[in-house]
Amino acid sequence: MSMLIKIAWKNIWRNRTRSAILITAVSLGIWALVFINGVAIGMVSSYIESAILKRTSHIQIHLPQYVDEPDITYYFNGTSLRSYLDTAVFVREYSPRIVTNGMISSATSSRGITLYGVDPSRENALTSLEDQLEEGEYLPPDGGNFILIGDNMADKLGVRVRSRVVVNFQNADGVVTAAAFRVAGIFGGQSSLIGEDIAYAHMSTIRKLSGLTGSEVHEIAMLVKQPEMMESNQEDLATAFDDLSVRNYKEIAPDVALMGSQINISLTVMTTIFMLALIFGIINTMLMAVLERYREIGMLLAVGMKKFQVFSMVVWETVFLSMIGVPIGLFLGYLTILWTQNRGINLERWSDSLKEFGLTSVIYPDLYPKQYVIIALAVLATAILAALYPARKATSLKPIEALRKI
Amino acid sequence: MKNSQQQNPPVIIETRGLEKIYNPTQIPVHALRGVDLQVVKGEFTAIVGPSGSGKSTLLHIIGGLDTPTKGSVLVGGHDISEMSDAQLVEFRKKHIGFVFQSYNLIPVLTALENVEFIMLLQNKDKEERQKRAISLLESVGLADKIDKRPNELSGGQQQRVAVARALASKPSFVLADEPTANLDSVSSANLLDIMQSLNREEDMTFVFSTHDPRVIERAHRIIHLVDGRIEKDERVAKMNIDV
Repeated sequence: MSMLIKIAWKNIWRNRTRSAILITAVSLGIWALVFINGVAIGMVSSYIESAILKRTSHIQIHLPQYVDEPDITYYFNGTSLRSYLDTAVFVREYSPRIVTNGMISSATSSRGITLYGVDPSRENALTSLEDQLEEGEYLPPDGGNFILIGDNMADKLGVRVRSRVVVNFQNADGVVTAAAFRVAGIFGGQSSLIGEDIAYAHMSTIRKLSGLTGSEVHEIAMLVKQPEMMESNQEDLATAFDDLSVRNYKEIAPDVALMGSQINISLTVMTTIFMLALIFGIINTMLMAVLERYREIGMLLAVGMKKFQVFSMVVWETVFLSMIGVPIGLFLGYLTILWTQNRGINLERWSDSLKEFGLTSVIYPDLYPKQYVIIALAVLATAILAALYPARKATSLKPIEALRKI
Repeated sequence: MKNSQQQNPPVIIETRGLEKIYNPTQIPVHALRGVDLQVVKGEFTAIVGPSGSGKSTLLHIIGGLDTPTKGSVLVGGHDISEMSDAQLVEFRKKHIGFVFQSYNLIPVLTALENVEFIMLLQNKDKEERQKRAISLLESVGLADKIDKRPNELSGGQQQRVAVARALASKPSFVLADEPTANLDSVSSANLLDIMQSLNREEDMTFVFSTHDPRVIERAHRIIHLVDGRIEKDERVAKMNIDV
């Protein structure tokens, strides 16, 4: 076997130019594949992170009835839960919220709205809301009738910072309440997927208007310290507070998980197309290599080499050719990802469309070590598959016919 | 009588009513038309004849590389025309040494490795392989070329490596298909000297097809093929065997 491998290794260097072309093609293909995978994973991560940060957090806790029907009357007393979260080691940040659905009106227009009553400092720690402000100022810590709205809503209402708006909603007693707010700030980065109809005001103000008391809230959103432990943290919480609904972001927003799986499908399709192209490239090269050695292979079969040995020799040659390109391509891909990982790829030109899909305009490519291994194994499997036809061709030779040629 | 029978060298190759028709269903070409032949151990036999007379076909059928349309081939008493492809591969590996017109060495291997290669297929251990390969290369006068690759050797030298390779497996006989066709006269003479000395000293049986007069004049037995038939079977020199 060792002689067979030795011959196979030496055979691939018989036509250096041809081998170099195939190795370069494999390397470039792998490099592109690694990079595209990295960009896609970077995009998905950024989408999921953005969705978690701005929209869902890792875990949200509500009354079970609220999950079925987000009505203002489905609130709960958050005192014991907050004490638990204050001491739980896995909690990074949490923010209690009062949530009301109503109508916001300006002098010229009205829109439906989900108004969050939040503790400004806790909410900012959880969602970096202040950083998302494009104009104006963040909510003052001591309350008051100030509201933060999204830029799209501001455009549709025709309001700017310091404009007055009126919010109407039904309070916990079923009475319709109206309150005037001054726009303190306008935040951006809200995609149509994440929601344009969100507004924030101080919790104390909304509590007063909604008729809730003490620590009654509709929702507590939280981030965990270790996202990979999120599900187990969720379980602990659900056990400790079995009268509440504890959901993670995948349950809250299945579209976030769907985005990940859709990107995975696209990557699989791209990878398959690449592998198919690679298969034909390898078949072409190896078939040429086999056909130009017709006589030699005929001689090998004539002097007593078994068909299986000839078959193995051709497969080894193919594997060698492909696998030289694999580490080169992986390394180039790794370097490119490393280089772009910190700098990011700026897609500012397409930022509007990216925003629509909840994506940031700067992509930070990333690829897990496991994926490098998967790509290497996929190419190895492809190479073996591609070797079968030329190898079969070589073994289907009748030695006498091969020797008669020339 | 018993004594004289024991001294007779054994028949190594026997063909009975050998016929070969190419394209039997379209335009049939009769390459062999009933060839009966016996070759005994130690013969140095040339099969001669014009192009298309059936020399190579006969050699290929004897070597188990081709199958006859009719008739049988017995090598060492075994009917190889009845063997499967896999059995033929094993048979060729053990019993037959091949020397081809175009040398057909493995270009990526050195002379030594080319000779070793056949023994490797026979699963001989490394020490034995190297010892025999070196000894064979010495016997064909290439002791100083063992590390050279085929492209670093002349045609004559490559054909001598091919002879050493053919003998590496300790075959029952060597089949050589026009072994001097691509060689100049000096290389041909050298090669024939080596083949003859192997024939004489090691009692190795050689059967070769040729139309090279330099080869024919060295042969002890000349079988003339014309249109697929043996036209003449002449023994031109007294051999040290009683046929």
